[in-house]
Amino acid sequence: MTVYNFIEIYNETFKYIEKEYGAEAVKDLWQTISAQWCVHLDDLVREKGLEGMVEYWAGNGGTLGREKAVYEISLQDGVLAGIMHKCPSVGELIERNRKIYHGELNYCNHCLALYGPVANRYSFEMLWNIDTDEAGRCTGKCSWTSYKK
Amino acid sequence: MAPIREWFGVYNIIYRWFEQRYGKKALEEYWKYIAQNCFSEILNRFSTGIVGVRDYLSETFDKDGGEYLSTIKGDSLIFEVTKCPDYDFMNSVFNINFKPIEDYCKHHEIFNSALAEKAGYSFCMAECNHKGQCKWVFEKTNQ
Repeated sequence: MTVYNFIEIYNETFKYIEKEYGAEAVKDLWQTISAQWCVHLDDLVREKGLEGMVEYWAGNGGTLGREKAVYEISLQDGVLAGIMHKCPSVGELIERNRKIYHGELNYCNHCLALYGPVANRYSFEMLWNIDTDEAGRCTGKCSWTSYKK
Repeated sequence: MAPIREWFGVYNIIYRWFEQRYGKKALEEYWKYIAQNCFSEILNRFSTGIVGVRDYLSETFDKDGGEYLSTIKGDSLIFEVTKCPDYDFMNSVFNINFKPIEDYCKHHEIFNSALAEKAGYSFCMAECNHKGQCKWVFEKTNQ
């Protein structure tokens, strides 16, 4: 199926796995995706540390630019700070009128689950603050920081 | 939303994860769930008739960088994939995890069958070499 349906499928995948196999299985899938897909981020962090993270998200051809996210990233005094004003994938789910995964885990947890282990592998802390509505659902806004442990 | 071609590889990682953790049957059950719970916009296109099916497939293959031949005969469509964008991408990058699983193409069969059935068509994967070339046949059913 086309990549244009990816976010919709991704979101439904998390719902299905939690329903059929439980939240631990969702975490297991995220660990697998982190290990098997985030190899480019891994290369960049290993070689360049926090600068590599900036390059991954915000550099020329960076993922957030390609996904047309509205965001800010800064790197100052050894601390990377990112602010997501408008998450493209949450935005797409809302636009498509999809119910965003919200169970024991929620859709937005996948970002930390994917990127956190890569940062930790090279002794960087990564913290994520996800904005949710009154019902605890992702709003498409978040912020994250990373720094050397 | 902008397409990220690496997502073809993530599809493959998810499929392999299902197969390794829970088996082939579980993977097929997952595909059936996705087929029933996603793609409402595609179904709208399919429901406009066989030209709508062809136009949707042509547009997505063009956008994804695939190549194909399409022939409409009456209420039937033969859509021959000569370059599958999924395979093309996964074979072009150096990531061992993007090596397509043996049954990768089966998801097309399950997704297309579900969409076709809802739109009043049958779907048959008439040919598939599991290397990025296949032939899809959609035919109007009598319902």
